[in-house]
Amino acid sequence: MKNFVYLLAVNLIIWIAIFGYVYSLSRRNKEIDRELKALKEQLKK
Amino acid sequence: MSFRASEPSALSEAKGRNRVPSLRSGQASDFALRMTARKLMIFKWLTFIVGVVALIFIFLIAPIERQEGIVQKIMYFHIPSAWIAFFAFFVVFVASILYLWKKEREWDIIAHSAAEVGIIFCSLVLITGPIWAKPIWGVWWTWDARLTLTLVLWLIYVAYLMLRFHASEGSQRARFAAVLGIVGFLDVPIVHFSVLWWRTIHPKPKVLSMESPGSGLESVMLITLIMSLIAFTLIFFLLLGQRISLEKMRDELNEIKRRTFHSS
Repeated sequence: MKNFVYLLAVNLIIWIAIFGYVYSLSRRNKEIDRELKALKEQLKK
Repeated sequence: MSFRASEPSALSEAKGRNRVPSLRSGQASDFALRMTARKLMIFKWLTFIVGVVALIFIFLIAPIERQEGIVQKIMYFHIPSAWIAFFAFFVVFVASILYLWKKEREWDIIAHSAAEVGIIFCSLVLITGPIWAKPIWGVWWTWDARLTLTLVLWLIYVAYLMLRFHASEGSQRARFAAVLGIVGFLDVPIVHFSVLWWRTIHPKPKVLSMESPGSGLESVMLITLIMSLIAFTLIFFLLLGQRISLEKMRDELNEIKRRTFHSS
C-alpha cells in the first residue's frame, strides 16, 4: 500500500474539480434566475 | 445544487409580456420540457451508477500492478481525463468549422461550452500526471515532449477562453474564436504521436497500440479502464449539456432584455 496517498490525492482532486465546476455552473444558473426575477419585477411596474 | 433543463415559467412569462416569439410555447412545450427534465434525471442517475461501478472496479477489483504498485491505478483517472480533453477539443474543432460554414450561433455555443469543459479535463491531466510521475520518475515535472505539448495545448485553450472573455460580443468574436478553435486542435494529434516521434520518458500508448490494441493491459485492467472511460464520457456529456443550456438561457435573457429596452 506504499504510495496510496498519491492515488487518494488524484481521486480527491478529480472529484473536487468536477463538483467545483458543477457548483460554478449552478451559481451562474442562479445568477440568470436572479436577473430574470428582477426583469419580471421591472415589467410588472 | 440544482439544474433545470431550462427556465420555462420565468422565461415564457417574461417573453409573453413583451410579445417576444417563444421558442417553446403552449402545452406541447410543457410536455417536451417535462420529458427533457425526465431524460436528464435518468442520465444523471446513469452517470452516478456508472461512476460508482468504475470506482469499485478501480479500488476493489483491478489488480495492483507488480512494478509500479498501487500508484499505477492513477492511470484509470489520468488516461480517461486525457481522452475526454482530446474529445472535447475535437468537439470545439468540429463546432468551429460548422460555425464558420453555417454562421449559426448554436455551433458557437457548443464550441465555447466544449472548450470550457475540455479545459477542466486538460487541467486534470496536467495535475494527475505529475502526481503519478513523482513516485515513478522521482520528479513532478520534466520538459519532456509529451508533457510540454500537453501544457501548450492547455495554454491554447486558455487563450481561446480569454479571447472569448475579453473580446466584445458579436460575430467577430465568434469568428476569431472559431479560427483559434480549429488551429488549436492541430496540437492534439501532435500530443498523441509525440511519444512515437520523439524520444520521451512518457510511456508509449498501450491501449491504442497500432500493432495489437489493448495488448499491454491485463483483461481486468482493460475492463476497469473502459468502465472509467465510460464514466468520464457520461460526466463530460452531462457537464457539456448543462453548460450549453446555461449559455442558451443567457442568450434568451439578453434577447428579452434587448427587446424590452428597445420597445420602452
